[in-house]
Amino acid sequence: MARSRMDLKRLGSVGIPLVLVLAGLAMVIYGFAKKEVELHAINWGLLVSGYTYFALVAGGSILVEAIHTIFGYKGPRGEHEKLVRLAIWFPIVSLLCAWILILADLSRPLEFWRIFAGFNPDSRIAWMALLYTIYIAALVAQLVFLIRTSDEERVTHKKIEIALASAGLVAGVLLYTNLAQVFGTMISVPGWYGAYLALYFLTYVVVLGAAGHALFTMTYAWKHKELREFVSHYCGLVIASSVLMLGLLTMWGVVTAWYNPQAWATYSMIVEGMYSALFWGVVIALGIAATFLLALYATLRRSAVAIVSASTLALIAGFVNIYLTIVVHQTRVPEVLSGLYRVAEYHASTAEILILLGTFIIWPSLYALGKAILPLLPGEKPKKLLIFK
Amino acid sequence: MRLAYVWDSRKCIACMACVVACASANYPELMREAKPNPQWNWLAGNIRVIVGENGGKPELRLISCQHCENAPCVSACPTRASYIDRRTGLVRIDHSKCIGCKACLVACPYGARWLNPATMLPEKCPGPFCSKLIENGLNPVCVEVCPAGARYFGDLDDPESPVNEELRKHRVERMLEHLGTNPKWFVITG
Ligand code: SF4
Ligand code: SF4
Repeated sequence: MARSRMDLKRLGSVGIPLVLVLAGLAMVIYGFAKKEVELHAINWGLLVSGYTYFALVAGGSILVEAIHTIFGYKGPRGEHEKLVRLAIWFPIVSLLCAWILILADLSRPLEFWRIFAGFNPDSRIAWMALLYTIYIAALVAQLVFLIRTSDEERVTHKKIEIALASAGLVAGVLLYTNLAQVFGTMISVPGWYGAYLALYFLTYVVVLGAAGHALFTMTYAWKHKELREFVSHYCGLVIASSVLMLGLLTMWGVVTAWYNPQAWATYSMIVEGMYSALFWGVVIALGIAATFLLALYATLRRSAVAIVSASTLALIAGFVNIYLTIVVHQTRVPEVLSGLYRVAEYHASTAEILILLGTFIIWPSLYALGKAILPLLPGEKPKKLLIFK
Repeated sequence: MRLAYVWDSRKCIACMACVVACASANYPELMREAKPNPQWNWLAGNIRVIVGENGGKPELRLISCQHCENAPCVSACPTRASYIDRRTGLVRIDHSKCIGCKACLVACPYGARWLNPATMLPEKCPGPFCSKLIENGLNPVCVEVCPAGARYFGDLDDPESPVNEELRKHRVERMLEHLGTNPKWFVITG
């Protein structure tokens, strides 16, 4: 009786996320089939914003995780070490979601291989594809290594672990600097500055990565007091300190744009125009101020409720800000005659919304599926097909 | 060879013959539809029109691909589908290599590219019909149909070509030259 209840529970823990992943994929495919060129549309809209978002979320968690693998921090009672496999699974899932969105944004996703076949070294997008591949390969190799090796073997193979983590970290930093340059090198869009965006994206990587890691890890750590308190304290500290930097950089971007009339044409829409409520209300008040206070409280009082709230706010506000950064600056670009602007009126289409929603369903479902079939939790060992529970 | 375009802003009577000829010659199948180029909300052609103001007078510009020698669209293209044709110096798109990432559309500071609603792939000057004309040593349709004789096309490397003749005689400017794109599309202003 007890055994059949266990089997049923296991079936549910695999079956439900699997069904949700498939449902999400179906939404993505259906949305893709319905995509069409919209009236006065910009070129990179909701899907590219979503892709950038997932890419940034994935980068941060590798930084969180590298503190353990490269710098050897285990947590006061080894808590960080216990969570390290979950910490690697999370960016893998987030990167897969980023891939889904970027492929869905292409008009001919099945021709994607042409990026490698005709690799153009001048193109930031070509480098994105290469760095992504290296990054995801490093993450998968690291996860397999951690799953396959026992605690004793890990001590003897420490160099391999550090090499894999370092490769992931270096590829990650290059990837995010390059991602910023995908936008920053576009001289046609004055609202995007390459040097600024690189710093901005790297800071976002830390905030979103720590927030995503905290939120997703809590689905397991919540039931374990010492893990719950550790995640609250540790991620709270990372979020509180990086979100302050993010606030500073956000305002720096606004002040710098004020001196450039062409950049101000779109920045003014964000700061004092039709998007100002989103900017001041969601990005600044919730995403920076409230997130900082909650994260600080979480780290000082080891409060799980506070870290979950801070992470949720950071993730929501982060998406809004990335959307504003990518979309709004394309809606008013300078024409060849001075003082004139080419104006676009972008509204995300139903197809794009469907694709994004599908990906947001896949994200936690795939994470849960991984937790159900891979030995990611403390003490779990692979029993089937080398890496499965 | 470095093929280039010259447009005489003083001669142009804004009749739009070049705009319509470009669309109907290059994209006849799209022209039959109600909204052939939704992105520009315009005809399915490679020329768009903007009107500004200069000293209280309207100022017109016809915008199409400038065939930049330092082309942002070519640098941005991950697959080399956008490339500079070494034989002609024109910037071309090899649609068979294009994945539709739209980087070239974002990168072009002139807004000279648009997304074909049928294929979801980028289009720009020269379109398929004009490409054939150029390959056969003929002028593109915009030059042929201009009733005011305001358009010229030819090789910058040939001192006798019509473009060089016009460039020698007049004051010319190149649009957004300060961006370093080195466009091969000249506007006669005086
Ligand atoms: S005008 Fe635009 S499309 Fe044409 S070559 Fe220059 S950047 Fe490329
Ligand atoms: S849309 Fe096509 S031509 Fe333009 S950059 Fe992408 S692959 Fe190149």
